[in-house]
Amino acid sequence: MPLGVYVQLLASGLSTGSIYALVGLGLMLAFKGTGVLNFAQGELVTLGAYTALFLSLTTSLPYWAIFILTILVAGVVGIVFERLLVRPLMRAPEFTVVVATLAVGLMIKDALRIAWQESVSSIPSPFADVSVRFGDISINAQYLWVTFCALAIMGMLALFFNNNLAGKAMRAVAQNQTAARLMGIRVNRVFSATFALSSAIAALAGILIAPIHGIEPEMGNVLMKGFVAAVLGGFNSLVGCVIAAFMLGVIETFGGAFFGGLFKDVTAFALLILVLLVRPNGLFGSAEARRV
Amino acid sequence: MLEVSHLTAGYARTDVLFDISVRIDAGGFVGVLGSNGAGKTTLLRSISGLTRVSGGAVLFDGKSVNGLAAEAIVDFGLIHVPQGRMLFPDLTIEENLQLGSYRSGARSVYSANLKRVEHYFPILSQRKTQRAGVLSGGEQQMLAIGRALMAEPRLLILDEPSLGLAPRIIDDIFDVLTHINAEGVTILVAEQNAMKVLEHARFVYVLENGRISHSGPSEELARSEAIQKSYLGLA
Repeated sequence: MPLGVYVQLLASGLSTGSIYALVGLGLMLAFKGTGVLNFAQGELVTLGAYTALFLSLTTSLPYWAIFILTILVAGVVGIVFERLLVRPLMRAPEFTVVVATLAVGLMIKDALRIAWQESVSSIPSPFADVSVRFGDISINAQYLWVTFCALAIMGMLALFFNNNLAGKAMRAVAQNQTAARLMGIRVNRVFSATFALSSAIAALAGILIAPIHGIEPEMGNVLMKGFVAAVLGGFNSLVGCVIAAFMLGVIETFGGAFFGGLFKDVTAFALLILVLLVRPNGLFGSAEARRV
Repeated sequence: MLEVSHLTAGYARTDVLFDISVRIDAGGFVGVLGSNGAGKTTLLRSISGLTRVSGGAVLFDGKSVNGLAAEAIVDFGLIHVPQGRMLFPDLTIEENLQLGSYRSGARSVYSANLKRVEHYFPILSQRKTQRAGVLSGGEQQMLAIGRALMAEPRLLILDEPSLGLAPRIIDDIFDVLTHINAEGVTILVAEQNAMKVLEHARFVYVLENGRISHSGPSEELARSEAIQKSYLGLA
């Protein structure tokens, strides 16, 4: 195969990995902040994509306006999600909360299926039909845009958690809620903010993936890949999650190209099992990251 | 400054404290002495809003704080150093101190308070960038007190600061508390360590089975036969 094909596969793999990274980051964020493993995270991706689709069908707003508006709507969705589902179950066993999020995810998926009749749609993106040329090699600009967004979100989250008092307060709440309250931190507000942020990141993934894979009710299944990336990355490290997601995306894409599409999922989970056999805390995790 | 009157409190349907009345004037250094399970922690948690009060009143500056959330009570400058320190183990020492000054009234005096903490606990400034989880027990207690000082406390309440620490460190910590008190911070400390409480606090309440059994100025209690027998191990 010519070199150009390898580069194109790499770009495509990185953009696929970027989507996994965004899903994984959203999952990790909610887990770090509130201890809830949100199995509806995939449907928050779907919901974001459909919000963008709805806006592009009913208004004549440009891509950027739809982009920003969708993320804001998703933030509100996250707050409502936390208020109606997570907070009332905060004292319930963790397993109950996980099953409840799974149930809500299924409800969202089926509601969209009823409303949209399983047809695949898309939203226009200014990057989708543009190619960036490097010498003889041309790469779809949407791939680069998606990868850029994932890296930007990772960078912003890292800055937020390490250099911002609100970010530190979020980490404090995750580590000891009682102590956080004794510092005057409003734990409920931190929970709302965590889910707003997590849902906004999911919606971003939805908008970005739409021009590549289309919008359909099953797109939330990307949750499993995001989860694999987060676990591979150690479930504690933002950078670890993104690197693992990139690896996953690239290996999958090459695996698919060489051995056929069916091998995509096999490679993802084979990689997960292999890594966890050798490093039970993930590639970048540390033992102390375990919840006590 | 703080007035607890006829307080009844506990968990679920079981009360642990009965008809407790405690009073602390501004600038005071008051001790609550009691053995394991006497109700010291519940008393402190009722004052700081972590435990629901089922009867009686807690007044801070004459205003009732009953029913207020713990995170709101903090804004009055009533700062609680909880039992077991409750640090944020994965955050650095510096970040723990920054969160101490999270409350709105403390942010503007951050640097002054940081200087004060570094003056009392120089070891903390040497290890600023290390995670709180790797500190020794004594250092963790220092950080817990340092974090509370960052909150610009008017009333500092501490739950068993001596727990699990070596005698020399306990001495250091109580000396610091005495200095802090001399700077004008009112202090309420709950302890099992009768020696230290009677030495440093000026007024002491003795808690037994959820009730106040004795109270009085420290010198007076230290001479009382009942206290000597039960808490000081003297015949």
